[in-house]
Amino acid sequence: MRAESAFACAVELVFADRAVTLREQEYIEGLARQLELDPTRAKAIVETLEWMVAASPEAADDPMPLEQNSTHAKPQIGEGQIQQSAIRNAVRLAVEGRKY
Amino acid sequence: MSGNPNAGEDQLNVFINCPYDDKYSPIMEAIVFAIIDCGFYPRCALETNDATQTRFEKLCDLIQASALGIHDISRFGIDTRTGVPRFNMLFELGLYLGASLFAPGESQRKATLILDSDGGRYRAFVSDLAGQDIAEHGDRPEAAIVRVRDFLQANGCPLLPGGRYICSGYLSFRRDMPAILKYLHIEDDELTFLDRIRTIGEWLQLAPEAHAARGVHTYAL
Repeated sequence: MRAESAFACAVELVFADRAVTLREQEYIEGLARQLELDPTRAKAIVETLEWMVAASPEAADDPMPLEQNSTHAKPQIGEGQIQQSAIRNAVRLAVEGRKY
Repeated sequence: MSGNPNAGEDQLNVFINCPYDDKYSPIMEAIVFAIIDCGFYPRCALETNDATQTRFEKLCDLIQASALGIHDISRFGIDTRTGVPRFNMLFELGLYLGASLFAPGESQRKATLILDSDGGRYRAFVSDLAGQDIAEHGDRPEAAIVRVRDFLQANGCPLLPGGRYICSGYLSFRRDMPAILKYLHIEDDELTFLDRIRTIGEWLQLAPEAHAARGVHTYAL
């Protein structure tokens, strides 16, 4: 439980600047492994915090809400279409993380 | 109508009439990429799933909203599944040419690119097209890109990079696609037409090597 709390604090800090880069995403995943958290549980924590920040009043005024920077694209929002922000985020991560 | 906010910009709308099968999909994606990279907007019957409209009504709406049309008749032939020829592409081409010829006002400006795998083959199965320029793509996506780019340059966008440049962008996009799909948790064949347009549009905005005729379209669907 303490490990989960520490993990949640770290994730919140990463999310605080509204810019989750690929390196930060790798850091979050590495931290979860170091703390020996269950991957499903770690993912749930990240997603919960992500959506809490996205739903916060500050996020409503943010010209680039967290979701646009999220590594957790949420597909299939409405009639089979993926949210534009999820697509933007996926493309950004793919371009940033090029291995070729 | 489809509800597309760009529908009114008929001079930039490009109606795509092509097969929707898996074998053809690389060429279709290349055509869509070239259209967007040149600053135009692809329109296609796949973009709408309005069950209240008949397919014919959808086609009429799209044709009416598009000043430009790209028609690929390369898949005219016996369908191995049904054993009969496919006439949809030729039907839509005829509808488009008719709209261009007979409708008053705006639609008289419609310009048409007809693509085939072999430039002279059409004489054997649709000789009424004699006199039309048929552009050959040889079933190669890169060739289709060059044809589309040349067509768009001749019909409203004189300042475009060369076809090979757009091709190199398309190949970079294809290299990024596996990672993009991974982050979206979706398979390539699950992307809808509109999602593919959005993905290409975003890639053209974000990839450093992308050209994109920015300022013409924002892709803000």
